[in-house]
Amino acid sequence: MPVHDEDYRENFARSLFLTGKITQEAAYALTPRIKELRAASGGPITLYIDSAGGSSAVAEGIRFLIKAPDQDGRRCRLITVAIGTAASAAADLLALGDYAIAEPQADILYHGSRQAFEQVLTYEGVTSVAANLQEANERLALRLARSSFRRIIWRVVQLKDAIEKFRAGPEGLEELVEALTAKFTPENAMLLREAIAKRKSLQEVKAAADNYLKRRKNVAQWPNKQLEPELVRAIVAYRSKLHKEDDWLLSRTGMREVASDFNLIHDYASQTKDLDALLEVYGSLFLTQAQSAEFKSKNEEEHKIYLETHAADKLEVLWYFVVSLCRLLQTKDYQLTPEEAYWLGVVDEVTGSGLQSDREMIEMIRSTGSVTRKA
Amino acid sequence: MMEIQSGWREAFAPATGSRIWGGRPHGRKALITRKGLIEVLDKSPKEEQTQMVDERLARVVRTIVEEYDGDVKAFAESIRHKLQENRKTEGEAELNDEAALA
Repeated sequence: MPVHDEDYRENFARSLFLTGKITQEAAYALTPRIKELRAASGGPITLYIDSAGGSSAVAEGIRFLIKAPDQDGRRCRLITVAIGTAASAAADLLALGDYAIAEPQADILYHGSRQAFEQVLTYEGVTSVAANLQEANERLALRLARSSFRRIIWRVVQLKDAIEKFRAGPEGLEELVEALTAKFTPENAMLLREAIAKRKSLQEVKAAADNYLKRRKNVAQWPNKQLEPELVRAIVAYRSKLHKEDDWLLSRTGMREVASDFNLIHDYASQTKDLDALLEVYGSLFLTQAQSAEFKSKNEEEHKIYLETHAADKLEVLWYFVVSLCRLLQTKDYQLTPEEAYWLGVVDEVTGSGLQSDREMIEMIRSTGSVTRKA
Repeated sequence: MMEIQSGWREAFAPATGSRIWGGRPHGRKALITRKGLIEVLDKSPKEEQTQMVDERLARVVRTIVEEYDGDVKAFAESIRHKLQENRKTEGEAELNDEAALA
């Protein structure tokens, strides 16, 4: 009998509906039901979404409320299901589900942070609001990247010929992404190509900062108080060199570029731990056949070192690409079909599509003990 | 038509009037502080700061690497084949049950 894993399935009996605009009032209306479901059991809670968006802060509040630990430290898993529109803050909420499902009729829309004004703004107000919007966009992008990365790993390993080239070396990334673009409309395919270009510049600035800091002694022992100003100097040096032919000044757009690079590198550094954990689990999917055979001949302790040597660089360029992609998603309007959302790592499953899902793989392995190769 | 996120107004600038719009309470300008969403994002549960690795998926990866030489497609095809076989077996079992009851 096939095993159903409730952690990967929607469950109407333990569900909530988020429909219409995401407002504080909508959150208040959901709160009693959330508390009721959490009190009843620690099982997953399904959140059906049909919303054009609203307040991201409120959406995040709803998510926290569902996922907060109870008095025994139990946390409910969140299964999100797009049943109609999932736009803006609702699209973020969909992607942040522990398991995200899109129904075939769903529409998924992304765009950057917005803020409406009814009054005249001063220069000071505009500058401050712009900085806040930029920071919010960056953080939302990184958070989206964190939730999409695992899914994107599963997508790219399905691209048979291109993944073989990528396994041979990280320079195969462009071909891998080009193969991925075939799954998108021409308009959305541009998003992926743009992300590849952005990924290059992101990786360049990181490499420039690394080179700059390498020339300093004992950087690893420096406290952040000492390291951060040095990182800013490294970025200013890199940007100045990059714009040496232009009339580039910090007092114009330069400072904003430097701040953006700084935040990105700073946040990037905090992701290293994530990459280590992911490398341990998914790294072996990025080995060539010869490497894979060698890997299998090694013991558990040697596995980690082997993956660091042979797979970490590939996972790292893929991570840069995903971050760049998620940053672009926060810049203008992108309308995605459920299948596109699947290939972009926004959702885990599109119902009835036949696209390979985590649920299918996990349930089958549980059903059979393991799945052995067909004769 | 994309809906404007009017909620952002509250999220970013919960205070109103002079504080936001550059007015001069007590005769001097006040800066807009980091408010709303950014603070909410700062409060993300600690465990979300690091990627949670699902042991079930780790097992899938091990199976793909050990039994399919990293060939995800072959693994997926095998899954589908097994699913079809299971469904067929279930269907036959149901038919047999019905026949026994008839």
